[in-house]
Amino acid sequence: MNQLFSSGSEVASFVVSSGLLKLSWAKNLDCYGGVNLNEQHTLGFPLRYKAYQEAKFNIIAFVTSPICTKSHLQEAELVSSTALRETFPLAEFLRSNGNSSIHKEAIMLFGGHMNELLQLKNQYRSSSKPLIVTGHSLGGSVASLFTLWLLESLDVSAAKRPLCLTFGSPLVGDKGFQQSISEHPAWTSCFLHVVTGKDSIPRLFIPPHNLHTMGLTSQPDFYRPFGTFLLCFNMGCICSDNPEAISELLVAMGMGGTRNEEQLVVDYGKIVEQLESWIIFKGISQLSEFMPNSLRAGTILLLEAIGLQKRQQQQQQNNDFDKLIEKLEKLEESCMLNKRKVFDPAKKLNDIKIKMAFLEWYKKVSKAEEIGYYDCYKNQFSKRDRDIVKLKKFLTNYWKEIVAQAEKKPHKDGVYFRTRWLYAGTNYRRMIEPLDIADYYKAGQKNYINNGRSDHYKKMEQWLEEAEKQSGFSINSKKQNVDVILTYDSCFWARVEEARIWCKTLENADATITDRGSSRQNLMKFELYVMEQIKKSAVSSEIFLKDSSFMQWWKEYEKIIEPYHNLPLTDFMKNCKYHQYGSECLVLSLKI
Amino acid sequence: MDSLPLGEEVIQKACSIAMEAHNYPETTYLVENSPSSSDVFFTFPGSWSVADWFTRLPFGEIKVDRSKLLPPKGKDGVATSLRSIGRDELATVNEGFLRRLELILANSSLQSEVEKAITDKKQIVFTGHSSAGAVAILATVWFLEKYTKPEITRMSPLCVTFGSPLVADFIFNHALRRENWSHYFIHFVMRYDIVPRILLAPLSSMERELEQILYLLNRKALFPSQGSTREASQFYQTVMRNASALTSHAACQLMGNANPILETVASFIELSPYRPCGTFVFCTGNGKLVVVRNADAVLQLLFYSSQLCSENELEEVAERSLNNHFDYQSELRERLKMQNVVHLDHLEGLPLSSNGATAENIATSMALNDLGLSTRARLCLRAAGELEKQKLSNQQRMDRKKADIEAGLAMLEDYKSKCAVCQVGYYDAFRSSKDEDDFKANVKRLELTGIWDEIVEMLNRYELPEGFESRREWVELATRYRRIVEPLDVANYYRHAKNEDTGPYMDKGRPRRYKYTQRWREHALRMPVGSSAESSFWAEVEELLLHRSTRPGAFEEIRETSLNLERKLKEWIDGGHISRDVFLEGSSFTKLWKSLPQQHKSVSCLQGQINS
Repeated sequence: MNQLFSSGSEVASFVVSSGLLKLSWAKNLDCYGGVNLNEQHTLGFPLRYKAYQEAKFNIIAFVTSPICTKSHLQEAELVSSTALRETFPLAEFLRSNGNSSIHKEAIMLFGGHMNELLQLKNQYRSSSKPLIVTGHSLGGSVASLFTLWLLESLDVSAAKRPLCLTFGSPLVGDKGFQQSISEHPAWTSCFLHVVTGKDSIPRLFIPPHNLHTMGLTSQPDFYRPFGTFLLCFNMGCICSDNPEAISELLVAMGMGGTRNEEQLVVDYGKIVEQLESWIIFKGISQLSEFMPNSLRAGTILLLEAIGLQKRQQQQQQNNDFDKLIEKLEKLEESCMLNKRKVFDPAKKLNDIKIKMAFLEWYKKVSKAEEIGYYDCYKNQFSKRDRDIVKLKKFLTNYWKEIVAQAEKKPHKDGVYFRTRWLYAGTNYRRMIEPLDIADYYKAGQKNYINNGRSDHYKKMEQWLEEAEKQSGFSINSKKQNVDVILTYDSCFWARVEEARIWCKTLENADATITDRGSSRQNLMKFELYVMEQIKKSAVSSEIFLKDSSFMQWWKEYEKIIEPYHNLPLTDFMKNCKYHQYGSECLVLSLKI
Repeated sequence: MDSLPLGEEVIQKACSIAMEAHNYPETTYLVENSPSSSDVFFTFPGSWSVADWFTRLPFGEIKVDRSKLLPPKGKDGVATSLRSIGRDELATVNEGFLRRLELILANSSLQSEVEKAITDKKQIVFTGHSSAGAVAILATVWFLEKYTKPEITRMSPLCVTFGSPLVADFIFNHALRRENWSHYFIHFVMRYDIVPRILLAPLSSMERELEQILYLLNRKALFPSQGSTREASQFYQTVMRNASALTSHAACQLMGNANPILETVASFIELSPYRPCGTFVFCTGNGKLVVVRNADAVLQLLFYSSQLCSENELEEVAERSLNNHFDYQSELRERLKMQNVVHLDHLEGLPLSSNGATAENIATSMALNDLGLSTRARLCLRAAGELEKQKLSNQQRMDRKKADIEAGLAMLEDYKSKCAVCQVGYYDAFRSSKDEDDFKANVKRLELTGIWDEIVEMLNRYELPEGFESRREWVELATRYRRIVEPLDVANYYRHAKNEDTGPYMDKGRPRRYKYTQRWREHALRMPVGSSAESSFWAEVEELLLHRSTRPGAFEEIRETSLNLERKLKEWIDGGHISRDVFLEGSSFTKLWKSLPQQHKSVSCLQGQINS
């Protein structure tokens, strides 16, 4: 195992020395300028925003007038996204992953300016200059919501991402809200929240540890941070993007020595300036005690930077402090482990190709035995057939995981992802689904298409249809060779099995007249369907192999049909035209 | 006690002539070639104009192919060493310093003087102080490319710089280490000297100040002078803040931090492309010389060793950041006698605090204290060491897979000879894939693909040691792999008619594992770019066959290509790089050959090789 490091201080140094904090805060300040602080306001906070076009960036700043302070924010009420469906444009996205709730005050403020903000959004969406969205206090919450709205309409894989930089903003939403954002790594990467220990607003909605005694449990879910937080105190600062760690640290900062230094209105300008100038100082980054472990040393430095350290004669606090250190280290470790465990479809792709090669070979051998791999697998005569069961399971798990991942992605990323995997996925579906069908009917069940078909096949088929419709994506090679293709309709064999069941019904003397009637009709339909597939060269020539289920069906069906029955397939089968299936001249004669 | 990688005399001499050169600003270069000495020293006067340091915004850098001095391909068609081989990414260097060297070479007798030294079998030392150090580095690289690499001389050059600015990006360093050239470069840096740090800041952040500072430095170079505090402290802060952005960004990567905010913020600002290369010797200013080879660690040290303890120090340190630039001669004169040298190796286990010394690491610990390194700085150095260790262990992991590769290749070679017995050749047998043997070969092909794709992925992320791509045993194994397996990939491509959807194999379908490994061999044997394409021979045959069948009357269109292929095939057959099974009765090549016009065949160089 490699050494682990705690790099929160390094991220913070980078962010501070980028100079972006100073730049953004200046715009917030400018936005406040000219506000009449004695302005009357009975209907909540008037929102102020202003767009700036700088040499290198565009900046949009959001503030409220007057400055929103702790006393204005006693209501921690959340509104659920379901309730917002009609009014809030982001609600749709936020609901896609279960329910999520947003701070009511923030959403009201945002919603109250929807039309102007829409204009603003459209104006900056296509600008080539990078965009910083910034805001202070409640204005920061609006900045976050505005940025989310903007992101939703951007193709994040192509467009330059905006940066949302808030100062002293209250938490915006609950766990559901945080989770629906973190599902899109590209989105999470856009949020940076600057918070100082002297500002109580950002930790106002954090549930304190002794929550239950305070009778606050009636709230169904609690606020949870999202994005990256830059936490600072006096001369030090650190960064974290782990919601759990941020919550812990916000609470610890509130409980620790910082409480006495709380200020009603925090001057972030001064703080940012100090942080920038302190970058070139060693500051307190010298550890006094002997410490061999890198992670432990880093974590202690991290806490020292935000004013948290052991104090003499405060046993209880020191115990809490030790617990906090342990907890942060655990979070760091699990974060590293998760990074290694992340499902990366590309890494496994080669294994998948090997498994598919085995299946291709199985198909080839079965064909040589004049039976076809569908029936070979269904009969399960040899060990070879049973080996396939294992391969099939492996492949199915892999593709189910891919489908699940694609579903989680936001619309545009998802489309890209699906297209990338479409070729291999379709190949898989056409190769493996027949085996599922074989298992299903072997177990004596009926109506696979409606009752037995796994969701991931349905999704994959749907994606292919969408891609073909939208982009003219074509998966079927121009020069088709029916000897090597896989039957396009992966449910073909399910239809054959149903047809055989209908044949049995007709032979069964006990069957009711209605049953017979519908079976006969269904068989006619099936006959037309098969002929259609043949004309399109969309079925593999393997269906005509001597011992295949399809040929079995034909034998059974031939006995039943009346002499005057005259559909194209009858002619095709009776006259053994299938021997020429796939050759040019047959294609021509069928088209005429 | 550790020692320096160079003799004391060479260092003293180099330093004194490097400083001396400032007195001759009008000359192009200076040479010190005494008949009694086995060394020849070349040095250059420094430049103090902003335009020489930054030719453009933001950092004045260019890819090496923008200069004739270090062309991407030589006259012999061999690619430059100043790149990553597989990825084929060229190094980036400072344009101003490179143009200076170009001018010097064009307008002086430097080249002939250098060649004379080669003839005299003398040890060549390029040296320089300040920006002349940067010119010396580029001159050394020019020498290595021009004389060492083609083995015109077996004497390796030396490069000794004092307070030199950084000159090139990480690929440059990567290439020097891979070529095993890195240890020819020794850079002395005084703890607070601002000059080696200047190029970590973008020009836009300090344009006016830089002009002032260079003016001040120029004056100091000629007559020692004091009194520049105000300008110095502003400049010091600007450079350090930008250095902080760069080094903390780099530290996050060393520590494996994946916070995506890094990428977002980085897209809003300008981060310097320059990185250290070669061996650095930090002079602590109080008697120690600290030797560091790990480039990631050097970058961190450049920032952390000149951090301030407190605000009170600002003016003093800022002043020193300029004065230190001229302290090399006195510092080295004192210190070399004391031979107080510490090598910072095994960075991953450095003591984390000033009182963390044990009996074994007392010298290291004191050196870290003398450089004024905080615990945070030491953690960054540890992370740099850890990454180096990780690269090495990745290499060991791949080395252990060599046996699997060997076994796979043996199996496929066996397959190949079996196929030849049936008069088909394994290419065409695999293309039609009728038998179980073909299937087994396919599975083996895919298994090997897995291993090689993993190597390619690691190379793309620079996760293997720099020397990996030029290790002989791997180059040879890769060549064997490419020759036996790539034909199967080509066969597979055309069997599934992927050319109809995607285009010819060579344009769109060729996997990187073959492109990379072909470059390995061409690099190792100094072959012209593209000349070791024997493994993709079949792809050309397929395209020609396709042309013959679709446009049989238009042979003229492909006559050149066909001739070329025949000529190359003859070479490859004669060299034993392609076996004679291409001429078997059932092979695609025989089919192509038969389809060619009689008149063409009769004059072909293959006439007589094939029984037609």
